[in-house]
Amino acid sequence: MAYIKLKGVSYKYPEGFLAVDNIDMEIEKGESVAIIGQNGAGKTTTVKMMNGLLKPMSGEVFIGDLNTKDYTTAQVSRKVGYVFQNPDDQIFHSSVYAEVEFGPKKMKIDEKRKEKLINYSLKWTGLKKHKYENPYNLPLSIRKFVTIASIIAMDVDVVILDEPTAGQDLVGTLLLSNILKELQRRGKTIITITHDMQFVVENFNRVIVMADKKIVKTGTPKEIFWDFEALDKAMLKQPYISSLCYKLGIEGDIVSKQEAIDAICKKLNIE
Amino acid sequence: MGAIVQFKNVTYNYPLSDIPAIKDINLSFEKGKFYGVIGENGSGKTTFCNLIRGFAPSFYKGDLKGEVLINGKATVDYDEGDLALNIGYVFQNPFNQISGVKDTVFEEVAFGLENFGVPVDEIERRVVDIMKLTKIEHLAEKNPFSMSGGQQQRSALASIIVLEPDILVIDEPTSQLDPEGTESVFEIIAAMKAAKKTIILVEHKVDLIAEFADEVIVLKEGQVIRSGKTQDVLSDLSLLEHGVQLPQMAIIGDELIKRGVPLDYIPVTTSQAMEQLEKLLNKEAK
Amino acid sequence: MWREKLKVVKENKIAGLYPFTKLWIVLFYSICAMILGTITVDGYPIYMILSFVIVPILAILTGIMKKVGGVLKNMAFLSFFIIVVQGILVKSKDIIITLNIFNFFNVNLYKQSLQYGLVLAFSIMCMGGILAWFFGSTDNKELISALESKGMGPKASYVFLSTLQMIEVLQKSSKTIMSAQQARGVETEGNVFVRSKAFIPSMVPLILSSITNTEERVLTLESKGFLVKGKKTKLYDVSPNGKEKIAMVSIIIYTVIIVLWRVLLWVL
Repeated sequence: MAYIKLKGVSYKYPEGFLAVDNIDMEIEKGESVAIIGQNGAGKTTTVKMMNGLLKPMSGEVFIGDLNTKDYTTAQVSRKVGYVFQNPDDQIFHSSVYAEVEFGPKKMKIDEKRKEKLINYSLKWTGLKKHKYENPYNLPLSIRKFVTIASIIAMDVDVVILDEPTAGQDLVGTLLLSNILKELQRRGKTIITITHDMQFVVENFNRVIVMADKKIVKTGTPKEIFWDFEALDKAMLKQPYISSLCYKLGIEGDIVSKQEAIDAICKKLNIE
Repeated sequence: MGAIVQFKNVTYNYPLSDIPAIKDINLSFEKGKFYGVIGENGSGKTTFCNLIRGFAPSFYKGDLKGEVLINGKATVDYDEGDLALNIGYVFQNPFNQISGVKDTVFEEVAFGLENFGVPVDEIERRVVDIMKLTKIEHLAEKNPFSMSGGQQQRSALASIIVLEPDILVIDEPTSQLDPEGTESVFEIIAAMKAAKKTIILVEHKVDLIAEFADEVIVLKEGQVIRSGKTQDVLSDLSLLEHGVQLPQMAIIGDELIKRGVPLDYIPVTTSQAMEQLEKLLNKEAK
Repeated sequence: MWREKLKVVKENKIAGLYPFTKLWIVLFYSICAMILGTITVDGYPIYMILSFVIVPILAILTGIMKKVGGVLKNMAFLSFFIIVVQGILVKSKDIIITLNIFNFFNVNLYKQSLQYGLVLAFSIMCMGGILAWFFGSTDNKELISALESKGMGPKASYVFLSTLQMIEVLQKSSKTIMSAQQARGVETEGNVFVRSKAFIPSMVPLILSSITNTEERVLTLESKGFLVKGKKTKLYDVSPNGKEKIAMVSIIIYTVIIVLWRVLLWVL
């Protein structure tokens, strides 16, 4: 039984703009899903309906047994955490610690467990050394991790990350990968919106492509990045590695570096 | 001489900071070349741009040792606002590059020309030309605030390019954009390259830097740890240890060579990889 | 070609009046309203209340009732509140009526307090109303253009314009910020008590981000040559639409009548 279910969901903004047009989506508990597509495709609107920030105009959104229509956003947020793209829209405490403490405190989690959760999230987001600093004295890319830590500390079942890779450098991207692995290990359901196709290949085994307010295709990175029709519809390009393989005429729907290297060596009869 | 921008023994501290954001930099930039600036977050890339543009120290205050020269003159010696005549600056957040005082994109792009006192007829002509070049003609009557990030960034570029500066300093313009937005921004940058502007671009997307830049400068902790031709710098795998992302092709190329594939050099772009691999595959086929 | 397109062309003759003319109307109308407030019938500022009717009529004639209607409604609400509070809570000499609530206690409506409340409320309604008319019928760029021809410096006009723009921007920002906080368990729907807890989580990011954004925006301005010395040119220039004379004459006649009336009453 899928944990997150969207059935015939549509959403129209008050100004009249239709952002999502009759979509169905199912995500199992513990799955790690990447949602890709150009801006305007409906990605953010869709995930905002998963944590109750937006309520569907038609259709229904279920988180487990909860129908989001029956609860306030704050209530749904206890189960589904959403990390906004711009950390400056969220941070309002003068220390990293206080900011991360806010969520669990609000949820009235007991002192001991709260401490554990806070330390846990600070550790995994690499923020231990910045514990008592003012978030605004940290670079933007690190502030991003403060908001991620805030959500992890709430120990939510589902974590939604909205473009966590934007503006990150190599270290930041690796840190993100580690966080995703850890969350997965703990059985959390993860949904990530990203434009970094290489990041998708390296961290997710399920990809949902959206374009023009609808879902174009869902599948593994292999299935997605070699379906030229789907990529075309979503106006996306193949990741560099796949593109190289395509141009060299290498078969096998390759997406990973290792596969590419092996396949090229094979073709050149080198072991 | 041809050095349009020069850093002479530059060390710079932001106010109230003991640690210099930029340390002992000596660099020369040639006119008409495209320079990529890469490095991990916090390595001083934005400070670097601020120094070229003169925002440091004039706006940010702080302590500047050494000189940053634009066309032979130190940035601190320029009159207030005059550097805008020589250097165009575009940065990461598209939203903050909207002046906030114009209702349409057309007027937004014209804003700089108004400030420069350009005659009204010429303003109209130049704005129309630039909008064609940056492909934002269809946005001319839109309100700048109601556009997507990619559209805003394109109009920010247009607003700066229309002023015809010789030097363009562009700081992570595509960080907040989707793939389409990124592509359209790079199209404009490529056009500027073709128009022989001197371009200094800070980016994380090294694969794109590999395609367009003539030279690359790598920063770490405020210092230049590597600089030189794009090909040489971006194929230096040791840079990975310094937190620097390298092009996908370079990483694959290095692995292939380690496995025994006889590549002549480590490719940094897809076309370089294709060129070499196709040659080898053809040989193999024979 | 573009300059023609961008010119603010208004079909409504009143809306198309030169901004300064409209400002004169705002000034004279407000002064008259205050004067009328001193002409009372049995202590009630009847004429001031009547003169307020000019505002919605003017709004309809200018074709901006839709735009301005909401603002007028809010002001009416506020005024009603002021009138009731004044009339009931402030004791004065005479009582008009006494209401008995729940057979438990008496509420008195005091005459002079009510009258004072009416003057206060309608001062707000008249001046607020005519200002709402002004901003509803004038584009920001028209006003700025007019001010600049009178010699207002570009820095001042920038501050002015961007402040006006900022209201819209801040509204958008605060919506985003509230969403961000909702997603963290901050309840923003519910009673006043609940909402007040959401105040600081919403305000702090708003203010902080406004400050950071302002810093970058200043740099943007500088990059667009805002600080370059020398004369600036203007792509757009506001111009009178020809009906200014009629408008000025009308408002002056109105003012003269009211001033004379007041003076006569004072003298007689």
